[in-house]
Order: sequence, then C-alpha cells, then structure tokens
Amino acid sequence: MTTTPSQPGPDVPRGPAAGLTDPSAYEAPMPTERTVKQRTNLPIQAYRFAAVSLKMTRMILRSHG
Amino acid sequence: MARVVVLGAGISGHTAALHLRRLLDKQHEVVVVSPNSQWNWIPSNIWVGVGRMKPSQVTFPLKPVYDKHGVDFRQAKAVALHPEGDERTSKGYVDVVYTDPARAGETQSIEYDYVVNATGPKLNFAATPGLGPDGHTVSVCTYGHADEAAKQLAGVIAKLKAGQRQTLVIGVGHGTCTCEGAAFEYTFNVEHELREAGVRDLAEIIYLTNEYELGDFGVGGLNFKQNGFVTTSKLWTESLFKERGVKSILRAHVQKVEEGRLFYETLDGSADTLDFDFAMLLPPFRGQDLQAFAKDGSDITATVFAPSGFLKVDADYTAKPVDEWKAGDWPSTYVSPSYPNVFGVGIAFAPPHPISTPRKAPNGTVISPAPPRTGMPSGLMGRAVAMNIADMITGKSNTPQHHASMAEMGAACVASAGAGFTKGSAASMTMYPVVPDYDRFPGYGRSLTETTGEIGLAGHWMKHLLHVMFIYKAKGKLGWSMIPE
Ligand SMILES: Cc1cc2nc3c(=O)[nH]c(=O)nc-3n(C[C@H](O)[C@H](O)[C@H](O)COP(=O)(O)OP(=O)(O)OC[C@H]3O[C@@H](n4cnc5c(N)ncnc54)[C@H](O)[C@@H]3O)c2cc1C
Repeated sequence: MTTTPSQPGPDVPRGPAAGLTDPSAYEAPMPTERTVKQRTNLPIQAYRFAAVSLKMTRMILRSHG
Repeated sequence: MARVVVLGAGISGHTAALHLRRLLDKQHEVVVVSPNSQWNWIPSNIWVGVGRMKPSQVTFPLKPVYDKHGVDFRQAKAVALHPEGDERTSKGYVDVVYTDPARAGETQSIEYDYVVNATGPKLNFAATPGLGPDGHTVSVCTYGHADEAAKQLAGVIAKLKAGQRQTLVIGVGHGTCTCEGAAFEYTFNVEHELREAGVRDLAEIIYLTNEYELGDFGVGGLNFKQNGFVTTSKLWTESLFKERGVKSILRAHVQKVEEGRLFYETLDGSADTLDFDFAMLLPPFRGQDLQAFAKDGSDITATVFAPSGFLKVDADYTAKPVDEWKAGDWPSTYVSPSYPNVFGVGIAFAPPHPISTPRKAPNGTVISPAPPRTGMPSGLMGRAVAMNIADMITGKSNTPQHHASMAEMGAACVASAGAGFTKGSAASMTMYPVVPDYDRFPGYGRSLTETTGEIGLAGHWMKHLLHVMFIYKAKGKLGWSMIPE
C-alpha cells in the first residue's frame, strides 16, 4: 500500500521536505501591525468578549432547541 | 424499577448520567461504568501539554460527584454487550472488567433496561508504527499524555536556551485522523510558549496534517462574512500561520516513526522523511474493543458495531458519492437500529461518512480527516438520549422524541492560540450547522450569519471561562443543569 520513502544518505544535502510550505509562501494576507495590536488591546477585547459571548449564546440556544 | 447503564464518563456519558439522574426518580437506577476514576476536561489538556496547567486542574474524582447525585459508579471497563441476554436471562447485559485497584481484574455482568455506549475513542497509536508515548512521539489526548508532553517540551526549551536549533513537528500521525483543531491549538500554544521563553528564532515549527487545506478542521472548512466579503477558514488560518511563522505539510499520512525521524507520504504520491527533536502527533481514533453477542452466544459484533468499532445508530450508512451526501444521513436519536434500548453517543457512534471530502493517494492510502465530534455536540447527544430514555421509562413516549442531529445543531469552538490573561489569544468560531446542509443553505452549506470566526485575547478569556464553567457543571454543583452543554 505505501511507497518507499526517498531517503537521502547522511552526506547528501537535501532540499526541503516534500510538501513543506514556508510561511512566506502562504497566499493569505499578513495582518497589519494595527490588527495584531488590536487582538490584545484590553478595551477592544473586552468589547469583543461581549460580542463573541452573544454570538455563542445565540448558537447554543439555537442548538439546544 | 428500571436500570440505565452508561458506559463511559467523558463529556457525553457524564452528561447523560447526570441528566438521567435529574430526570428519573430514585426508584430507577443509573449506573456508570468507566475505567478511569477521574473526569477530565479534555480541551484544557492543551494547556497541560505546554506546562500552563497541572493535571489536577483539568480533572476531578468522579466517585464523590456520583455519590452525591445517587449514581452507582463502577470503575471498570466494558468489554462485551449481550443485548438479547442469554439462556439465563432475557434482559440485556454488559460484561465489565474492574480497573478499580481494590477489585482489579474482577469481572461482572450488569443487566440493563437501557444502555448508552459513550466510551469515546480508542487512541489507535498502533495504526502507525512508532507513534505515541510508547513510541517516539508525544500526545495531548489524555492528561497523563499531556503532562509528559509538557516535560519533553521543557527539555526542548532548555536546549533552545542553550543555543541548539530544534525542529518541532505537531499535527496528526495518520492519514485518517480527526481532531485537527486540537493539533492546531497545540501548535500555536507551543509557538506562544517559545516566544514567551525568548527562543522562538531557533525553533522550526512544522504543522503536519491530513487536511487538504489549512482551516479544514475535518469539517470541510468554513465560510463566513468579514468586511463585506465571504471569506474562508483557509485564508484566515493561513494568515495566522504566516503571521506566526509556522510551516506546514498538508495532505500527509505518517507511515511510521523512528527515534527523531518520521516517514510520510502525501496525496500527490510523493514520500519523504522528516527529522524532528519533538513531535506531538495525534493518533487516529477507532471505537473501543467492545464485542457483542446474541442470545445463543454467537458473535454479532459486526451487526452492532461498524468496522471502525463505533456503534451503529440511526444513520444512513449506505455508501454514496460526496455529491449525494445529505444532512438526513446523520443520526438524530442515536438509537441502535438492531436494539431499541441500546444507544451510542459522542465519539462512540459510527458517523455515516466524513464531512471533509474523502481523498486517496495514487497508491490507495486514504488521506483525509475523519469527522470530528467535539464537546458541544457530544454533550447535546448525551442530553437528548438521557431525555429519551427518561421519557420511555416514565411512559411519556414509546419511542425517542428528542433529536440532536449534527446537521441541525451548531458548535461553538474556541481554539486556543496561546495562554495568558493579557497576552493570550484564541480563534473563536461558531458554525451552524456542524454538518453542512446544502438544501437549507445553498452555496455554502452553512448559515453565513451563524458561522463566524475571529482571533484575539477575548477568545482566550472565553476558553478560560468555558474551562471553569464546564468543570463546575461536571461536578454537578448548584444549578449545573442551567449551564448549557
Ligand atoms: C487534545 C484534545 C483537545 C480537544 N479540544 C476540544 C475543544 O477545545 N472543544 C471541543 O468541543 N472539543 C475538543 N476536543 C474533543 C472533545 O474532547 C471530545 O469531543 C469529547 O471528549 C467527546 O466526548 P465523548 O464522551 O464521546 O468521549 P470522551 O470524553 O473521550 O469519554 C469517553 C469515556 O469513556 C471511557 N471509556 C473508555 N473505554 C471504556 C470502556 N471500555 N468501558 C467504559 N468506559 C470506557 C473513558 O474513560 C472516558 O471516560 C478535544 C479533544 C482532544 C483530544
């Protein structure tokens, strides 16, 4: 069922492992410094906590029928 | 008088047992059979695995809780079901072997009127040679495993502090694993700890997964509205990987693990090795090794259980192509099609098919996530089954009337991305429904207003709050039943 792994000898310099994606290669956008800072900004996060709690409560109530 | 036997005291079984006790008066018996004396809030094992919590903070002994509520706890593991009884009795019964140190090895047959199989997953490390704590990798699936992972991680941090480069591989150890969300959480918690320790630059972190894309999480990915666009969990997850400098290997099946080296193949047919200093790879899950026997003693395991070892329930198990999958394939009452007094909840029930698209490598190796059954759905199933059994015992109905289909319920998931009251973060996600329903929600299969995601410190607070709330609830303290599943 399984293929034999291609294994370079100890002295052979090898390239990156098969399928390894470097962070620079991700297509997704990098968050701006402001966005990253906002993620730990206490007043903003206190507000987000309330918003997330509301969303989750709505979901939970809906799922509890 | 009726006796209900619940096998397993995890999220689904413990929920079912407490609700059964609440709903049934004391003339009826509720028996819980579970091999571990402790209850474990498994989601917080992630924090045990990075040394932020001790095992004692994520566990508590079950017996005092059950004593207080009038539940008969037997510290034992179920080994066989006899749903038709035998020549002695026409009542179904379950064979158990005690793990309680005072009675270790003793066997017993416990008769039941109703039985709930909530035995969760068997951690199938054996599927990948060299995988797991008895091999060459660590795990966070149990609090004991997580504690060991934390010790090894501390060793890695010490080496990094001494200036030695280290490669950490975190992910799943087989092509058919589930629970990618937990692997994702552990990846970012480890990354966070390395940054906090000031050694991140010497560490290479690689997330190795069977997912086709980042953000799949075994649910085929999510779509949600953000800033006037419909975005994907792929983009969102990738962005986090990019920001935190985490490499990834997608679509991978680990073939075997040796000391410091793992062998893997990918969906496109290539194969390679990866050297590591630390590897936390989750095992694939299967059902516990329960057997089933008919009245005449013949083996009916294959009738009662699916080949995966999970209990067959009211799902549509007909094999069908992905484009014919329907929300209605998923079970809603979790009753066995063969025995109306046998139920399977939580991870222990056999799902009809995956949620993510199944895929195979050219040589036939399956490399795609199995469907996750997370905490909230597991609790909801436990509660629905408890209500149905109570209704049938008290004569309110003859058949199950309460439903808890994963295609009709949502899930709230908070994936920790680092602990700390002011520096922590987590990805808070809601999805509705868990199993996409393209008839109700054409295009994306899920509600775009009820499916949401965001990253931030608020998520960490939420995760911590859930930790406190669910342990309180599981202890059956005042008002426990008011806290939702
Ligand atoms: C590391 C990790 C992190 C996770 N994080 C999250 C998260 O953040 N959010 C979330 O929603 N979900 C999370 N999950 C998933 C969640 O833990 C599961 O959905 C949940 O535990 C399933 O509940 P269960 O009752 O089916 O199984 P379990 O909770 O595993 O319980 C199974 C019970 O059966 C017992 N048992 C085993 N064998 C037998 C036997 N033969 N006889 C009797 N009893 C037996 C076990 O001892 C245990 O008590 C995580 C999972 C892992 C591994």
